[in-house]
Amino acid sequence: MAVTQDQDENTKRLQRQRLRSVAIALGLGFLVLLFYAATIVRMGN
Amino acid sequence: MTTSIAEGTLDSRITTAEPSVSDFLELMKPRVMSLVVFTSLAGLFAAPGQLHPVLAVIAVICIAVGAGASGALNMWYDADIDARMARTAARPIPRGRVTADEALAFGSVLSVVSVLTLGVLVNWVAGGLLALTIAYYVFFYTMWLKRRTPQNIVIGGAAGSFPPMIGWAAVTGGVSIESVLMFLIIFMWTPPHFWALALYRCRDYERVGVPMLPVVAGPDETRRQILLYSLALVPLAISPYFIGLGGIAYAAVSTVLGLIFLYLAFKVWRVREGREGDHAAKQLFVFSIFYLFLLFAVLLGEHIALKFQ
Repeated sequence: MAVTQDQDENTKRLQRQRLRSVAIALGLGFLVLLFYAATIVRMGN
Repeated sequence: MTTSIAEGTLDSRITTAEPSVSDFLELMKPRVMSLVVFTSLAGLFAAPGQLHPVLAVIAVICIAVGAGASGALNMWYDADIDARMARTAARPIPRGRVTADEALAFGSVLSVVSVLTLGVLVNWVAGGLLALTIAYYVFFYTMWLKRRTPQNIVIGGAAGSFPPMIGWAAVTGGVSIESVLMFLIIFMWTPPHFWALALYRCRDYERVGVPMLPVVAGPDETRRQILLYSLALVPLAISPYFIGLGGIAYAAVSTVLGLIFLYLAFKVWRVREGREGDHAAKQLFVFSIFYLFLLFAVLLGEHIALKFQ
């Protein structure tokens, strides 16, 4: 019983860790996109 | 575990679970962020000139993230008192979802990224103002004055008043009388707004030793200050019409709402006892949110209409 609970906790922990990594990756990707878009806009001016 | 959250003390190593993405979003005070986005949009649209829509979106995102970052840094520093106040006890750090160190790192990284991005991609006046806002809120207000002076709300209010100025600077690259006026409206609005809340929530602040005006000077003096600030706020909020920042709709709305604001502030001053006193303060608190929102909504609406004519 305790082992199953530990496994559940571990799975949830890994899931949260993965989601945080995805959020950081998306954030960085979005930042790159912003710089890319702003560069195009500024070059057009 | 060396200390207990329930006892109101805090250890930065305490966590009950791995923090989720939503815990970090909560650190950014989303409701404050939405108000910041709204007022910065008003500054952005009211400003003369054109800013490419892509750059305008970037500016608003940076201002929102910068505001969120200062919220996270505020929660990091105030974690000890947050744990002991009913209104803030469920925040991510007191709940043990995020450690104080994680909040500090998160807030610091976002602060730097938002300021640099706004400076590099839009302009450095806007970037500089955002840096000033974050530094002002975190160092000047949160760390230095919040726990030292009953005028903390007046001083802290300045941090929340900068967003329309930043929006304006993003377009024009400068500061002008119109943007200073928008700053002043929010600045003068903040004390009656927060003191109305503090009048019926002052026990929380008293317990943690934050010298809010009702705690230090008493409810009667707070009521007098609310009335005085309201008397200064209402004509100030109408004045954008006289310098051409607001149109006829703004003049009408700001006058009518201003009179209601004054009536409610007067009621808070007059009705001092028991439930009715608390009710008057609550009425003013709720109306003040509606008041500021509508002022900036009309300003925004008028300028959007002008730009897309």
